[in-house]
Amino acid sequence: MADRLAWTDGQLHMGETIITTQTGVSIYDGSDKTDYQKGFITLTTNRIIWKDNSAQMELPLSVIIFSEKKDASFTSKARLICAVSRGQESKRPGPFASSRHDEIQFEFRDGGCNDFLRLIQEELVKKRWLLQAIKPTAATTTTSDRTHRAGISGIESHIQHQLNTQQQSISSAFQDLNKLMQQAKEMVTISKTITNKIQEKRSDLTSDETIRFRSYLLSLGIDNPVTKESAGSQYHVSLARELASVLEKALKDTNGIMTLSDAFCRINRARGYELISPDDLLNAAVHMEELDLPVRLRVLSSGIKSFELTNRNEKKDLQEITELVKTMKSMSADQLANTLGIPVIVARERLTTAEANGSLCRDDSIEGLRFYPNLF
Amino acid sequence: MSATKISELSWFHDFPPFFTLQPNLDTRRKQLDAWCSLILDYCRMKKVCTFDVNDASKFPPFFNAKINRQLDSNFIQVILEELRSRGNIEWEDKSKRRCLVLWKSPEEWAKTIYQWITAHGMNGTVCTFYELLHGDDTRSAEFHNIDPQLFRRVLGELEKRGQATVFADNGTEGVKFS
Repeated sequence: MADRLAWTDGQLHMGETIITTQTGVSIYDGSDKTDYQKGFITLTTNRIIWKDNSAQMELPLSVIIFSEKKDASFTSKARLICAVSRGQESKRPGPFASSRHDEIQFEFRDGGCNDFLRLIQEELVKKRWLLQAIKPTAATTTTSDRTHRAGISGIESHIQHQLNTQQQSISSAFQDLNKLMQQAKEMVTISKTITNKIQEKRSDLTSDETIRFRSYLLSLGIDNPVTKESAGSQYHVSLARELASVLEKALKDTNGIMTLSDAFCRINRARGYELISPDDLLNAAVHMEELDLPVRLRVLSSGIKSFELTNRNEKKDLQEITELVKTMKSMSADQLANTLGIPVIVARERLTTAEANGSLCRDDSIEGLRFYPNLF
Repeated sequence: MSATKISELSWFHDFPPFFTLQPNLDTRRKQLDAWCSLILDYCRMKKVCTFDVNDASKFPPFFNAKINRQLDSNFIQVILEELRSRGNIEWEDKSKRRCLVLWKSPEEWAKTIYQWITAHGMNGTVCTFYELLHGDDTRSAEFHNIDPQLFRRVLGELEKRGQATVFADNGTEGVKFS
């Protein structure tokens, strides 16, 4: 199978490294002598390269099924026998057009056969050429048949694999988001056409029905959302104003406090399209204080950020909670959250504030954390 | 002391937060005050003079089955340390497993005992520990039936003042008050 030998320029590929070299090596096609005598042989992680003054050729390690040693005899020195597969790949141009043998023999005139054999067998087990093959051709072709192995190379290939899958899932996620935005736009168009129709047919509908219809529409979205394009550098400031006007009413319903994540959901649901990012929300929230808006950002002691009404009275709140706990005898954060309609995390925050204040004390048992009026 | 139940000594014992070490320092101070007085009252009532940390889980004030609460070992350590800093317990060993509970300070005990001895005209008489602690004559005395270890500790206090001499004879311990 000397026809598996192909011409090469002798340049190393990306990630390919030289393992060993040996001089005085001759090539035999099977046991037949060839013209290529006493050359310089190189073993790399990918292939065997043979060269002399006139020619350079390579044998990819991937086509070698196994290799073994043929001991020295009267007529020849020690030989390395490489059994070569026929393979399906199209044949590259090489020194031999065809061959009737299943193996290529390398005769080591200057010795070194044993070392070479040991190293080539190691490489055949490691199969490092598979790893390097991935890089130039990207993930698509090789991921399926690749196996994870131990060692640093195994870890590297694993990381590479993870990166590829992550990239794929991210790009598909963004596709979904784009679709969502498009659909939201359609929704808004529909709602606008409905509004127009209502206006046209105003006489047909009773005023009551019109009002109800309009309130549905309003709950669907904000008529003219502030966007980066429309506001430019004033974007966050204007967004802060919009947030304040939207959140003020909502805050009154939820006992004057709302976590940033809740507010984020509400705002984006109200906008429908031209969604804002969490970063935008936070940046806008920072401006609220200086704008003297009825809503402001507050960082609770647990690190949770939340919106609250500027006119919220901390002391009065604590008193209310203390009273509430007194009438209920004891309360958990859960119960308080349900009673007041506030998030559990905020309820817990308030209870611990009241505790630090000395008006409540805790009972931490297997039944959970409960707060009692401080009777000590 | 007419109370016989722990909850009569302190209503806190039925208050679930009593069994949780309070994180608020002011509250904790008051909570520990309540614990210390409860434990001393209990020990006085039951004449408990020694305490073994290994038996802490069986010590009645430390749990309340009615409200299903009990102290964890960490909290017990905090309370014991508080009692020690107030001079209400004295460790008997270095590993802090056993201690004397002093609901009365050793000085007070010494005074009480010496007064009783003087009132009964027993100065100069040799008495065994047994008759003083468990004898019929002392039935009415406050030190009747107290723990021998505590008794020895108090006699040591009296010896320091030169008001008593303790000696042992054939395993029987005796004392002579002067």
